[in-house]
Amino acid sequence: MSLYPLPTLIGALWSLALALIVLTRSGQARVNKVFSFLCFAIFTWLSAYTVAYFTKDINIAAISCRIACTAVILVNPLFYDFAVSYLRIDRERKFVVLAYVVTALMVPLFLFTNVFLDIPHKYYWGYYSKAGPYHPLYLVIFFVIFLRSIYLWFKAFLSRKTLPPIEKNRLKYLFAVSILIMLAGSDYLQKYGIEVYPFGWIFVVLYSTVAFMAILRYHLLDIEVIIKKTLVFASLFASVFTIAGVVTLLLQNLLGKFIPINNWISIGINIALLIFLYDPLRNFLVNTTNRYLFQKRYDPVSVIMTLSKAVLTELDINKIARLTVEKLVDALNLKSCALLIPNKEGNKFLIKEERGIADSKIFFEHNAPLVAYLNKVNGAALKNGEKPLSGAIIEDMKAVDADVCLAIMVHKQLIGILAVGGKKSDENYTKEDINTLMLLADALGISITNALNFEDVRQKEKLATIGTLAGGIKHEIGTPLNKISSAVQKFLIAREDGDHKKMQADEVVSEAYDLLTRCQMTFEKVSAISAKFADFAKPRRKADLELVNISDSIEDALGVLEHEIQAKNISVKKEIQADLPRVAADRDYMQQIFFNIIRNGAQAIQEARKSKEDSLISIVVKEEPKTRIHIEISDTGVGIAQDNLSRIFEPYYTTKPEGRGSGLGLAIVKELVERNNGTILVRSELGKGTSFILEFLGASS
Amino acid sequence: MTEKFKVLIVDDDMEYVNNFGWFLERKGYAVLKAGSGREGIDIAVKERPHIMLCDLLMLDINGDEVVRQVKAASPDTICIMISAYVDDQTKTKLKNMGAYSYEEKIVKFKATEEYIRHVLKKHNLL
Repeated sequence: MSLYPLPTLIGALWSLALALIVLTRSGQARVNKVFSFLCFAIFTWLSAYTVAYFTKDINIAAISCRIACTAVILVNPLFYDFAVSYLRIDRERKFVVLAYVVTALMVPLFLFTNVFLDIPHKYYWGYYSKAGPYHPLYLVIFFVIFLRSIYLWFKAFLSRKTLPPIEKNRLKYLFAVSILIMLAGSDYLQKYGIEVYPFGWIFVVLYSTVAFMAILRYHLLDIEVIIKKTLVFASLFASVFTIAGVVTLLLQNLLGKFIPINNWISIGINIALLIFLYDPLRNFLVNTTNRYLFQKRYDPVSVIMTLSKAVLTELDINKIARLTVEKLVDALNLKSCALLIPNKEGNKFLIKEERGIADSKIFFEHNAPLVAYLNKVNGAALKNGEKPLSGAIIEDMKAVDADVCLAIMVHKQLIGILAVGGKKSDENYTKEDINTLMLLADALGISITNALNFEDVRQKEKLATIGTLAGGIKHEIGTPLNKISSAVQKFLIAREDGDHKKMQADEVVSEAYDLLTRCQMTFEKVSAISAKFADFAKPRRKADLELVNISDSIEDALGVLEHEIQAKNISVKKEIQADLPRVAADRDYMQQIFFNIIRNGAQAIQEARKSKEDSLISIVVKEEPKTRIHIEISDTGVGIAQDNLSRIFEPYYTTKPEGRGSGLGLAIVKELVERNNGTILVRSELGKGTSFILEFLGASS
Repeated sequence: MTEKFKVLIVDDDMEYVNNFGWFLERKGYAVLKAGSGREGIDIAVKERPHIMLCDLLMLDINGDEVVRQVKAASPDTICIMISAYVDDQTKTKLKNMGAYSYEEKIVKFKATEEYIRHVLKKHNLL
């Protein structure tokens, strides 16, 4: 049996596989379709020649050869089209159309006439096409189109420096692919009588392999092939041992003439090889395939560490849950992931956020086996870990599609469960993976606690600041009271001393009347002052949306801080635009936002120990296009170092000495701003001062 | 009547200074008045009163700074600092400078005058 059709068959199948993968796995983009048609054309060419080599019938051979050559000429414009489409060279498109037209004209000539092709000649390998009289003309067209395409790839390859790394790699591979395809076209030589077995198939196998590798490593044409490692290993192992078997068989045939070897010895040798070479072979295969096929897109450990830090700066439970689940699924390429937190009553764990969970309504009672186990072990539950788990726990884990469950603990109490599903690539969880996930669970513990207690935290922080204003409050109330009290005491003592006997009755009554009037005014004033502090300190459970006037909120905050600002000799400059649109927001939140920012400014100025002229807080509020309200509050205080600037909104981050600052003020401000659908930015220069820039959306009408 | 004790009252609120001054004069003190910290320092340095009653939190200059300057120029003047609220840090600072802190801001004329007499007795001046 002739072996000559075999290589072309292999090449054909390889190209067909590539064509099918591209067709089924990539998107709808035209460039992908063009590439798959190109591969189909190559498949057609090689399979037609396989038939031509195989058959003994010259008529079949003739038809096959014509089909093959027609497929080949189709490769031309398809190849050109692919280059122009992938590289997006729009001005060449008209030439692509021209190439298609010219090819279309040649197709009937190739198929039905002898203009380009003569009857096939039988070479030693089988039948093969012979060139017709005008074939050189075709060759000219072939070369023009091919060389133009190669030139386009070459030019793109040269200017790849400006591209992102993944595009650079794809281009490298595609350039190689284009050269290989062009070399595969070398089979025209045989049409002129050169008696060498056509070796185009080698380049076809090569180009398909290179393209396939580009797909695996760099998602060429946006194809994501997730290879199951087990499948790869199984096939590689099988191939290696098949080859070993074949080799021993051949050796047996060869040596059998000289040495008496029977089948049992061969089998014995194979089994021996299997036992001794299993481990080293396995390691070798694992390393090579890992290096070439399973290159991770990015390091999941660093992604998870970044996620931990990000989660610590969030005060909203929904955001924390969504961020965690989404980033984990992405970083570890997971099939599923879920975050469970306790309900209000604390007797069930419900899914807060999930991806890929079959039943999202699943919940666990507080005494469920998995919950009890996690509580006890304060770590991770692994489905396929070293420690075997009871069936009940495994059942619970299966219910949330989890391979790993992590306990989120605070103060020896379980406050959350992170259910991590299996990886899409079926890889196992390494020890490093588990340790990193446990660090994430620690961070989640802190941030979930903060988020769930946000209202309490906010209230405590408010009261704490009120407490430090206690002196100011007493002074603000004491001063007007002292003033009127001195006048009242004078009147009373004058009466006791008998001064009034020397006065006219109505004079005395008149003086008393004035005094009492002033008393009443002072009562009302002091009442207002204490009301303003009481209003500020009042706890509120839920956000209350109303139409808030930003300038009123700022004035309220300034009112509470009036004394502190004066005591520090700070002047306040206000530039608040009149007729500002109102904002749909929580009035209490707004007050706290401005209070915290202005107070921080006053403290910063005090720290800077600047002279009175240099102690300034300036507040600018104006309306911007699209009913946005732009607020800028600046102080001439100590400023914030650039390194710390990105962290000032972090909960518990403070540069103040022990006991002076809770570190929560700005974290709360940021959370409140976001809950009011606003944005906040900070700019600062050490020694010069700090500016907070806020923006809110005005309510339309 | 024996030699009158000179009392200097220093406070931003002139109405209170005048009213309390009126009362202290009736009680037999020679009253000096100042409507600001700096004015208070000037008068204290010039007149060297026996007692200076001064508000801790004034607009132009803080009370503890007034004490420092007055004590430098007139060490025998007894400084009584009046305020609504004195934090521990300031209390200690004042004590170290030899001043008294009197935490009453509504100044009750009779009670405060009694306190002045108590302080004078303590210094063996009464």
